[in-house]
Order: sequence, then structure tokens, then C-alpha cells
Amino acid sequence: MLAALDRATRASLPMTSIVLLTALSLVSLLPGQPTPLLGLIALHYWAVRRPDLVPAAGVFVVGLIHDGASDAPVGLMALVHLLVLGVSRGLRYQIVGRPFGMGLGLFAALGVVSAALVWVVVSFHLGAPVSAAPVFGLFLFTVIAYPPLVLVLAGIGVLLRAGDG
Amino acid sequence: MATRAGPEVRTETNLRATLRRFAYGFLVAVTLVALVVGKMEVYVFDSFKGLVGDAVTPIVDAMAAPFRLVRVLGGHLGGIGVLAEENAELRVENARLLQWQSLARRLEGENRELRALLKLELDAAATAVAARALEDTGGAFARSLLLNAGTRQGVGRDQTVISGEGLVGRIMQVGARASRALTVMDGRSRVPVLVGKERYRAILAGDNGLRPHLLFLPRGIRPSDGDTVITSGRGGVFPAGLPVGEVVSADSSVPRVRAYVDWGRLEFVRIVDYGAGDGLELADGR
Repeated sequence: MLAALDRATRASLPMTSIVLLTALSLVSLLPGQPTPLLGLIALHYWAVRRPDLVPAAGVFVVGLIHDGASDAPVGLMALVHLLVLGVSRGLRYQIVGRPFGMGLGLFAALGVVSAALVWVVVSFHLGAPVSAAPVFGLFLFTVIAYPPLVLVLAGIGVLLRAGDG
Repeated sequence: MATRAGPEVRTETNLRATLRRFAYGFLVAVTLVALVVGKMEVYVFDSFKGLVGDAVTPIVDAMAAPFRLVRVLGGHLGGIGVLAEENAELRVENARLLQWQSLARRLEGENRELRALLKLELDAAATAVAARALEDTGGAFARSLLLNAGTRQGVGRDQTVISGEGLVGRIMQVGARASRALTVMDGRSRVPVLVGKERYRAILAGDNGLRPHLLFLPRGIRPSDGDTVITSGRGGVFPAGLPVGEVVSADSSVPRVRAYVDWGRLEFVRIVDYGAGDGLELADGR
């Protein structure tokens, strides 16, 4: 019984970290600066390492709530989350066991594509091109936050592996 | 047994993989449909956003508390070093403000007499609610603020949101405990304004950037850098005369406005009910 509870708790760690970091993204950490999309970093990390513990439906719901909370067009961040999940999961064999720069490079590329997607969708929704600087600035901040956050997530990964053993 | 288990496991894995791919494709299709529906029917997700805003406000507020504390402590520590200098500056500023106060009192008296002379009716008294600005997405998706006051505190749609420095925007969505303010920088915001001493009429339009631009200035009119921009009161949502900002980059094809509000330091706002009607419409029809 306790062993099953232990396994379930460990298995929920990836989604729990994605939810908590997404909520933290909504908090203004530095005045006047956008808070990086920390939940997206966690999503990429776990989609590469433990895709079995990151269900698409859960990611969709997190994205949808992010849309509602950040006043984004409904469906936008859900789409970005699904894009990151799909690409990261599909390319995980090219990243796992390779130098850290590979993961960062893929995430940066995903950041550029996601920023472009956000800019296009928001402009489409408003019927006129919006300022691109805030969109690309947010994703740049997110890429910068990737290395330190991955260190923290790697610590959670150790916990998961201990549970598997 | 081992020879039978292999294909069974593989079949299950294949089935699960197919189902997973189908679910993924289905969810992507749902998001695309939601985006198109949200564009066509602008009201359709308002209640959803209101519900999410209500639900996440206490969570975001609690998560932000430690960071606020660190900022306050940092501010106190930084302030100790410049206390004496700041004190001297405040004395000078106080003396200057006292002069302004005396001038304001004289003008108020004059104003009252002139209004009486013209038999002008004063506006109804406005009521205000103070609220904390909890979340600012930085303009990537929108330039709106989540505020920790809702219908329970008397907040209503289209009420004016101001800070000590000037106009912030207006209330766009209201929940029981939270509301969302559309700032003047948002791509959906259009505010009728008066520009400069000549009081040229124009529309202040946001584009999610930090500096909204002026539209529909009279033909041949070019404002100058530093010209003040105030609300005109047209449309009936914002009262006339609220300070908004000043013109910058007047030489460019589209004059832009730097708001008086310091967005980076904006923590508290006042939500004021001037008794406005439902005249204002967002750029997307809301």
C-alpha cells in the first residue's frame, strides 16, 4: 500500500512541477520584467526524459488555464504547450545522453517558433500586428532561465530514478 | 509463456501509441477550433476567463507574497543609505507643494464661483476601491492586469482604473474576488484623448508595446514632444481631464505616448466608478 502510494507520488512529480512552475510564471518576480515561462521549461525537460509521465491531456489543461489566467487568446498557450510536448517527445532520442547544449539548442529553437506562433495568433486576434518586442523578450527570458531551472529539475529526476530502482 | 508475452506487449504498446497520437492530434485540433471561435465570438470565453481569474488570484497572491517581502526589505535596506539626502529633497519638494496647494485653493475657489455663474452642474461623486495589481504578463499576450478586487468589493465592468500618476485603463472582466483591467497599452484599448495645449482630439490606441500611439489626429496636425495627453471624456466611459501621458517620438509617422504611469512599479491601483455608461467598445468589438 505504502509502496504504491510512494510510486504514485513520484510519478506525479513531473506534472506537479509543471503546474507549480506555470503558476509561478504568473507571478511578477522582477518589477517591470516579464517572468519566464517556467512551466514550459519543465514541460520540455520531462517530455524528453519521462514522456510516459507527461500526458497530453494534462498539458492541454495546464495550457488552457494559463490562457485564462494570462488573458491570452483561449487555446494559444494550450497549443504552444502541445507543440513543445510533441517536438520534445519526438526528438528525445537525439537529446538524451548528448551534451547539455543539444537540449538547450532544441529548447531555444522551440522558443523562437513558439514566439512567432504567439505573435501571429495575438495579431490575428486583434486584427493588427502587435508589438513583437514583448513576445520575443518573454521567450528570450525563458531560454535564459533554462539552464538554472534544469539543474533543479534534474534533482527531481534523481528522486524519480531512485523510485524506479 | 515468454514467446507469447512479447507480441502481446508489442500489440498493446502499438495500440497505446496509436491512441496517444490520436489524442494528441485531437487536442491540437481542439485548440485550433478554440482560437478560431475566440476570434469570431469574442464574448464566448469571457466567463471562462473570469472563473480562472477568480480561482488563480488567491494562489498567485500567495505565491507573490515572499517576492513582495524581499522587494520591500531590499527597498528598506537600499533606502537607509540615502535617507538624509532623501529627507533634504523631500523638504524642498514639500515647500514647493505648499505653494502649489495655495494656488490650487485659489483656483478651486475661482472655479466654484465660475461654475455658479454658468449654472454648471457638478459631476456625481465618484466612488473608489483600492486593489493590488497581481499579475502582468509583460505584453506577450495582452497588456492587462489581474486585480484582487471583484464584484464583492463593488467593482463593475467599464469602471476607470487609475494610479497616483494617471490613467491605467478600465475594467474589462469582473469575477467575485478578482477583476481584469485593460491598460491603455493593450492592443484592444482605444481611449479618446486631447493632445497638447491646443487640445486636439485623437484616439490613443495600444499595440501591446510600452508606448501606445495616437490615431485620427486632425489632418496636418503634428504634436510636439512633451505635449500632454489627457482623456477627452468622449464615449462616456472615461471622465474628461484624466492625465494619460506625454507625446514622444512626435517626428515619426505615428506619434507615440509615454504614459505617466510607471508600469514597472505599479503595485496598487484605484478602481473608480464615475457612473460611466457602456459606451466604450474594444477594438475587437467587446
